[in-house]
Amino acid sequence: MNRLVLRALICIVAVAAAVIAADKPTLAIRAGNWLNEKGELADKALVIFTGEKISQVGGDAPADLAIHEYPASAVISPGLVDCMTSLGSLGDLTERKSAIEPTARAKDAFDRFHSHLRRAMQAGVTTFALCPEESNLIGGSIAVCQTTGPRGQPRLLVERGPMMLSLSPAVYREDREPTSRSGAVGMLREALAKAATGPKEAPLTAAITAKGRFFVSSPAAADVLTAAQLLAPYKISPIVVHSEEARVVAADSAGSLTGAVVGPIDLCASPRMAEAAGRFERAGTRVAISGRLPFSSEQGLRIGAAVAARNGLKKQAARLAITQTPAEFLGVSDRVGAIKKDLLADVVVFSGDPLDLRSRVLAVYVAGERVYVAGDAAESK
Amino acid sequence: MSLFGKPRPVFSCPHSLVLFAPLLLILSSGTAAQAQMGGKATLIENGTILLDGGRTIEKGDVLIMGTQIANLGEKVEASMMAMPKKISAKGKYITAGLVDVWSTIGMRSGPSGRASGNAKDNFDRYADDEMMAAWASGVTVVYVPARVANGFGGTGAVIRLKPNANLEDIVLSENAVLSATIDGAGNQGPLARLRLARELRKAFADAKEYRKAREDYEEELKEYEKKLAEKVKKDAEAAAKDAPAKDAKDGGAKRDGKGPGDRKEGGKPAEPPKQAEPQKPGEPPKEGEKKDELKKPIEPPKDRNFDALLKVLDGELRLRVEANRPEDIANILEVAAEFNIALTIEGGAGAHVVADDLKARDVVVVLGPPPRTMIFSAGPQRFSTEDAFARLRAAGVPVYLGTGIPGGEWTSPNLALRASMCVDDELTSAKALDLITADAARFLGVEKKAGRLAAGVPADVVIWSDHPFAPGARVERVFVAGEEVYKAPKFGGEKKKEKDEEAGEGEE
Repeated sequence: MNRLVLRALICIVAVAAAVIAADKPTLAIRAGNWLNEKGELADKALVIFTGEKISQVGGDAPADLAIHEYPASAVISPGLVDCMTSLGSLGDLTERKSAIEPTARAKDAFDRFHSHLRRAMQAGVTTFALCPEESNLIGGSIAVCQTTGPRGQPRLLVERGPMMLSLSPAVYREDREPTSRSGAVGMLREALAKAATGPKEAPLTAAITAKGRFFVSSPAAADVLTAAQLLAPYKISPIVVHSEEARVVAADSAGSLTGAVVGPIDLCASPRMAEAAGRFERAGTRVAISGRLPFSSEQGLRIGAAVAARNGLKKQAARLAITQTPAEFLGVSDRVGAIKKDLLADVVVFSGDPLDLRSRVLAVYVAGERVYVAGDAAESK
Repeated sequence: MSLFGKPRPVFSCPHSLVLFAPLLLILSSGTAAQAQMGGKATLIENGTILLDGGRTIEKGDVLIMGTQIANLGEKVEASMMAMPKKISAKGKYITAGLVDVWSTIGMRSGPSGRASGNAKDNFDRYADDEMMAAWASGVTVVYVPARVANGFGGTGAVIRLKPNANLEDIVLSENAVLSATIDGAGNQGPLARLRLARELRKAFADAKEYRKAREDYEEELKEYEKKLAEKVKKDAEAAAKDAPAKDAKDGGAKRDGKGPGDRKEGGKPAEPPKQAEPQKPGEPPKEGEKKDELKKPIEPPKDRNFDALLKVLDGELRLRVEANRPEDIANILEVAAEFNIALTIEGGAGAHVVADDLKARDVVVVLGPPPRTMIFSAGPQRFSTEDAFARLRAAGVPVYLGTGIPGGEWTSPNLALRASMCVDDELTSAKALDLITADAARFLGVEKKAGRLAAGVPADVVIWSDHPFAPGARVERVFVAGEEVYKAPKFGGEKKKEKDEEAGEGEE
């Protein structure tokens, strides 16, 4: 009996020690500035990690804690989030037999060994959405992934993210339906109506019932309004993927959208592409900027934000458009996209404002570990 | 006698001098340049002026008179007669208009595809939308190549982006560079591209032959004319010797001192001395012709294409070749070395791979946009890399930034952002700004006409909301040759702030 009690006591002490160790901060990083939840640059940047999560922002670091110091001009930013990509995909992300594939999951095409993932991570992109392509009316579930994770392994964060729909002309085919826009809209309307009363375990039914997030590819201004109209009966406001005609549709669609995804915006973007994000934002629609990786360069997110900020998008909104806002669109803002207590410790240290293209990535941290450091970044004490 | 006494000239009266002196002072205030310049005046006040060479004037003014900058500095005064329109630039930045050293703005159809073509002939002066996009990025001067898919396209042109202007007023330079392209469409295989390089080499070799043929012709023509003159003289002397004997034979016909070939009164017109058929240079005498028979050499046909190529060979024109693959660049380097040609590589996606060779042969690179995709392409962009600029600079190769051929609809150059991406420990912001202003203008040979803010220089001026490289910096106003061509549209949330700023502008 005494032996049994002793063993029990030892187990309790061991568990308690593990719990205490798990709560112990593991690392701190300090720089001159950090990007807060309003998209502003705040000073006195100190971020403390405990395990995979952020445990403290600001204040003082415990005396015995390892601190990674960065220059006074450096900025600690949330890891960048690209909410519309084909990054790390193994082959095609579209099933061509049928235009309606609600059971398809982009995560099944995720190649965690793809070389693009490391390149994107080194550019500061830590989280991204692997999306079915826009050539199906209902393309399936978006997967939310990370360019790297614990032990340097890219990982899946969310298997079944938002549902991908499309009103793009890429949907029209001659070898299968739909073959026209009116056919496409009719088919989509019918599919949604059928799913609304279908079995609860069906992905589309579940998404409609739970009023989940729907991304709708809407190249034309009319598509934006149609997307809102198609989902309105289910009390769902879509997130439209639209850039080209924001100047005519941003005001009209305000209030009927959860958000807009704009991009890619590169250095040679036309004026109407460059000002699209600003137009949506001023109309009251939250906007995320996508680099559409890998179709743009790995700097595509920051370039898009920088160009948009010169064409009407407020600087704070531009910083949020590549961090917090896309995280919210993907439904993972409780895990990534901001420097906030209890979120995943995914941060990037830039040499300056991430919106300033003179800035460089100094270091990248994912799940509390430093996974990348540029040659001349400061080392820990 | 007059009631007021003897009249005196106005200016001889001391009192009138006192009266007129202040007016004279006011009229004569301002610089001599102002007095010389006509046209409307604009005074941009109280901005941070960024000059070339990294110099800065805090709270500076820029005075524009007519088409030129009349003066700039702290507290510039304008004469009352000038009555300048005043624009407050408080909190703003003022720079020279940016210079894009490789652009397709306003270019409509392709050139003729011959070395004698000219890019300015294809420039659309009414390309308002494209110019608007350029102004919105601060660009006021561009170089446009005479671009064809492959081979020579003609001479490029440096153009000031002024709307609805005569071509002669906006073309700053049109005969400084000959354009050529190796695989502009990016779809030629390796053998085809090798053949293109060989064709360029052959064209230069043929140009040399053409020159030799013309020089030979000139010499032979001189020789022919000399011999012809001698023959005429000889014939005249012979005729003069024969004349007395002939007169005696003719029974004392009146001598009029004329030669046998001359016209006789009432007679048939004299026939010119018989000449043999013209002979081509170097051609042997035809069968039956006498060896020493005089033959006028046939002039080889003039060829404007070869004339243009000869200018390159003689160093009057620089050769600009659009090439992206390292192997294509290496082939062009060989051609340039063989004919001792001053060479610029345009595009240069793979130029950093052969940077040492470029440096050794004093080649300049005009770099196109950085890679636009992460996806590997085996085509011309195969070696494209984001650090191409840094690598070329590290190798000592002079490199400039151009928008290039983005394809698709017209675009904004975003040169300031491009330059800001090049800033690093070696290249400061000031030097990067020079790269797209004064240095670019110097490279294009138009440094006295563009790229700088200085008195006497055409007034291409840009007002920015912030430093051109700062996040969110916008072009607010653009002046081209003194005329305001662009004012940024207002955005909703900024309306009140801009109304406050305009209150002090003195605008109508």
